[in-house]
Amino acid sequence: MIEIAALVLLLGVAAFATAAIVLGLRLKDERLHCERELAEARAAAASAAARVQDILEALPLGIVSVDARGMAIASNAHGRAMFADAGLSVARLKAIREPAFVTGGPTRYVVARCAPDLYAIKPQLDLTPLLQGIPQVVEAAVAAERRQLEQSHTAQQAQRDQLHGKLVDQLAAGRNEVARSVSLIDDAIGKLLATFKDLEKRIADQQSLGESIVGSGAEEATLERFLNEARGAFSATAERASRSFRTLLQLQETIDGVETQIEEVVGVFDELEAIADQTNLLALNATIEAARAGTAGAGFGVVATEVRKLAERSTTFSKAVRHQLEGLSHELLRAQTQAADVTRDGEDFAQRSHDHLEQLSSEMRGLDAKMRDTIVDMGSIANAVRDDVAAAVISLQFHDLLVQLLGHVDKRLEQIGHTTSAIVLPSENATSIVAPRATVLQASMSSGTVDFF
Amino acid sequence: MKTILAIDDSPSIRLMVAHTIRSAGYTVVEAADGTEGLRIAEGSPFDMVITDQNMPGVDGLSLVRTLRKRPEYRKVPIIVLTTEMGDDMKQHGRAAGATGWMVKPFHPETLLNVVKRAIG
Repeated sequence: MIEIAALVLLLGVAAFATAAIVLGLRLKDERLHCERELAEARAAAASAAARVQDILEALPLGIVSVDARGMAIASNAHGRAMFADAGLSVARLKAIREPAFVTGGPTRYVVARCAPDLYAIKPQLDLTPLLQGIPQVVEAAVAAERRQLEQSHTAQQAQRDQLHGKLVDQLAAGRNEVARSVSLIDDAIGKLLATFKDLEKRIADQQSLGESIVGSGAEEATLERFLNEARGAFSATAERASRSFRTLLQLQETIDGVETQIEEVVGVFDELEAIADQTNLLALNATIEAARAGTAGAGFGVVATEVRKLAERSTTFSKAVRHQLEGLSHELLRAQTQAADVTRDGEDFAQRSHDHLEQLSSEMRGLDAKMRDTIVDMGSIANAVRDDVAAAVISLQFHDLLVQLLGHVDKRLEQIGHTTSAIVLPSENATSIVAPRATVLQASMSSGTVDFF
Repeated sequence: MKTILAIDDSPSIRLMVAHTIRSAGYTVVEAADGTEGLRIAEGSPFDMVITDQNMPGVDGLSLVRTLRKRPEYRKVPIIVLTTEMGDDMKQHGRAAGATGWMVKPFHPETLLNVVKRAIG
């Protein structure tokens, strides 16, 4: 029994101790909670006091509040300074029921009782706020603050309007520049396209001209025919010249024959001269014999003299003819030499002409082949240029993409302008503005896709 | 000789399309926008129509829808040239009645193959 009682007692003690511990812990928590709340309240009070002090300090008049023991419990710097300057005491303050003038130094102060323990002190300038009491003073201060705020707001609004105006101007300038960019690109593209068209036409004309020069083989046949005809004409001319040369050779042979005959004739005349000399000698002998015969020989002497004269004339004639024949022979020899020269020159000329014609033909064929090669090359170049022009025209598709992109930029600038106006000017409705849909997402000139439905 | 109507507000694209098709022996009539394209198309039938999508006034899809309502254009191939790469717009093109959807930029040979496939 005792043991049971002791056990119960022990349990009771334990329970009590446990409760005491729990209670102690709870009390500790509550104390900590209270301390925390107290600290927060103190902080809040300090903050409120600081705010009140800030308000007091901002007031345009001196404030002094005193407690029953004459201790200042609230004041601002103006109030403390003027309180000391006016030589005020707590007792004098508490005696003031109506606004009172207090002189301290060179300045007169007006002291008004605003509340049982609150006094306003201000140099004697304007009594109205003092007479209206603290609420009016505060309202005035608030009104002044509001005016200042309103002025600040007005200034800010004016600044915003000014910035908005500048922004609108910038946006308008941007849109104008976009429009000018489009115009410039359009103009440049128009000229480029015209240039490409013209270039393409010129290439086609050039190629056509080259083809017309080269032709399909008929012109080649014409050139060959011309060369053959030239060669034929030259051969005919050469043949005629050859015939002439042969005639000249025959003439030379004829001249040789005449020369021989002349020499034979000259030989005959030598014989004639010998005969004439012999006749002359005979006539001289006859004359001598006739003289020796005397009168009978007189007639014979006359005949002999005549015969001698005839012989002398015959000799003179023979010499004259020989001289003529020698001149003729000389002329014939000269003609023969000239004919030989002409024949030789003609043969040389014919050979040179033939060689020259062959060379010319070869050169003409070479030129013709070269011209054909050149024209073929020109055709290849024209095709390459045409391909380049086609590639350039393909690249000009950037114009379409770029103009569309610039259109988007223009719409976005317009939207930015509306949004800005909506921010600055509350009457603007920004929600009614629809952003442009991007229709160009290409980032390069790579070819696009093709789909058949 | 088959005749094709080429409609695009971009002169560069119009030139390339017309030049490419003409060089292959087709006859090409050009229109500078959708309104002019519709006027020309309604004036005389064409064997094929190639139109841009994004144009001022009447756009490509509106033009396709309008032409498809006309009996003479029910079976005519209409190819839409566009910068739109998205599938949604492609589906709009199909729904409007376009025969093909060709995204710019493109090579002339590709265009020519499309034309030959459409009208031979």
